Amino acid sequence: MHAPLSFSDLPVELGVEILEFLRGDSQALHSCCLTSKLWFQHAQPILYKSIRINPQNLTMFCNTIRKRPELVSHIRKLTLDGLSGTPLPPRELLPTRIEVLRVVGMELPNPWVLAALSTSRSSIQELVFRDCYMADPKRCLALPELLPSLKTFEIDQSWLRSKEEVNNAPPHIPGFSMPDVQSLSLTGDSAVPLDRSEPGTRPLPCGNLSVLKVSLDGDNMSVFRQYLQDAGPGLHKLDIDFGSYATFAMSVLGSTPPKLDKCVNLRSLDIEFRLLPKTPFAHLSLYTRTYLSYIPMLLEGLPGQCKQLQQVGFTARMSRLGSPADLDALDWEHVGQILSKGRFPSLRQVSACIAGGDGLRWKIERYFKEKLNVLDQRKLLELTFREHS
Amino acid sequence: MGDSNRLTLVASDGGKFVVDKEVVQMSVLLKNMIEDLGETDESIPIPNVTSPVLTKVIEFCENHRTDAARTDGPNVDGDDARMRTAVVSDWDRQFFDVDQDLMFEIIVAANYLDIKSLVDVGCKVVADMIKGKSPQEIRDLFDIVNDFSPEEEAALRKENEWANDR
Repeated sequence: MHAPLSFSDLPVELGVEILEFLRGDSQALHSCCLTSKLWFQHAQPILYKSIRINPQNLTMFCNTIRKRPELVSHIRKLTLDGLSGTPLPPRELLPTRIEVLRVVGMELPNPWVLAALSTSRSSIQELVFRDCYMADPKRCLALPELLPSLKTFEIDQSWLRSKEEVNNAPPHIPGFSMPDVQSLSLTGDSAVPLDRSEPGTRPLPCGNLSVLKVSLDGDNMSVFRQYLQDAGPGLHKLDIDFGSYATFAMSVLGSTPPKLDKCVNLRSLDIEFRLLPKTPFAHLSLYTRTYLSYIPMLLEGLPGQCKQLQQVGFTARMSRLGSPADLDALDWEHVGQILSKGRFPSLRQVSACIAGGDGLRWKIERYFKEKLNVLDQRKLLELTFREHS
Repeated sequence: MGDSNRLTLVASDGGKFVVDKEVVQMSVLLKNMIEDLGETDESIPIPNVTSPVLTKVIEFCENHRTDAARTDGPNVDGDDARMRTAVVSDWDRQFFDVDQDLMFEIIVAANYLDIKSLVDVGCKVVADMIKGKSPQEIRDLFDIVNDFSPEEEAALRKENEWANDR
């Protein structure tokens, strides 16, 4: 017989690994710090690895680092949340080894962001602007170029337009010139000004980019289509989110979906879209037909022999309750037939994530197993659900 | 002659388990041993793992034998992303719905056998048990003694109070 094992008997590296899974959950790590001296010793560095500063905790955080400035050296991921107009801490107390900088709900450029970019210039690998207002798009979009180690850049749901321009035609902006960036995400209905790139410039970086996530609407579709002709071969992972606003219905008419025939090294493709119910006037509206008919067209447009493709994902947004007509808005059987062809020999997973449709949960699983039967029989199909958003 | 696709593992208490090589190879330790041994009928002793624990480890590996092939896609974020994305399925949660000492023994065995996915899932399950709990609740859960004086605890609470604000 041996004595029962408890948490205290775990090797230190496993205890630390457990605490690492709490990284970013500052409340849980705060509790761990107060559990015992041993837990404190391991939990506090992890607590400071990933921090979020907002107007509510700013004063408390500044007080702490004034007393214990050495804690700043732990910070690797810093989220600045809604700090526009708040005073900066002294420069010597700013973190110098940030790897991930996330800026949420702020007007840019901003003294906090400029200070963080300046003190951690050489270490920042990931930069995210979410729900930001970029009053000077040219200057904001030039910021990533100051960061020599940047690998990932993301703009999500942000507004790139100066106040004076809101009612006027926006000026051109420079194309993204970040030759070392490997992963780029430009999402949200106003975040991808591809169609506003200065003439003669490439709208997105091309060199080392292997992961790309974009939101497309009718305005930027043709620019993106052109861009893929150059950048397609370098991409390993591509996420396309078809815009969610109804205005998309108008602008999509007359445009054609991006052609993926150059994406010969693609391993993962994710497509997000909204399932729109067909209205009694569907025969008068090209919206539903045009918009959702892009999905099979995209898949058909993949290279003739797509040997690397391992995973295809669909995120289908629905209304909260959903209706059977929503589900039928896309020809899922056609999608299944395309993906079951021999041109995708490495395909190992086809995931369908249903966002919303709470009222249909009971029948959705059976529906997809039936419609995507060819994939389900090969055990490729994985179905998940997400809250309505 | 035995089946060349299967081999026998011997637990520390002498329990024998005949397992598919493909399943066993989820353990980096055993995979390396098999490569070193070559074709053999000899059984492999696992001196640090008892039969009940080895039973559970094999059950996990058999259930997750196809996972490796599914997750070797593009990964530009490295270890950090692995931690963020470690998925605990309903099956995994049920798997770890055991006494606490057995749960920790499984995690320790997985660490010894170098089965990364089992270590990750186990650690995440324990981390999830911690979430939302007060320091005293964590102490009660894992039988941990509070060795802080009231003054020390108050000072630390103040030092990190920013973390309690969302």
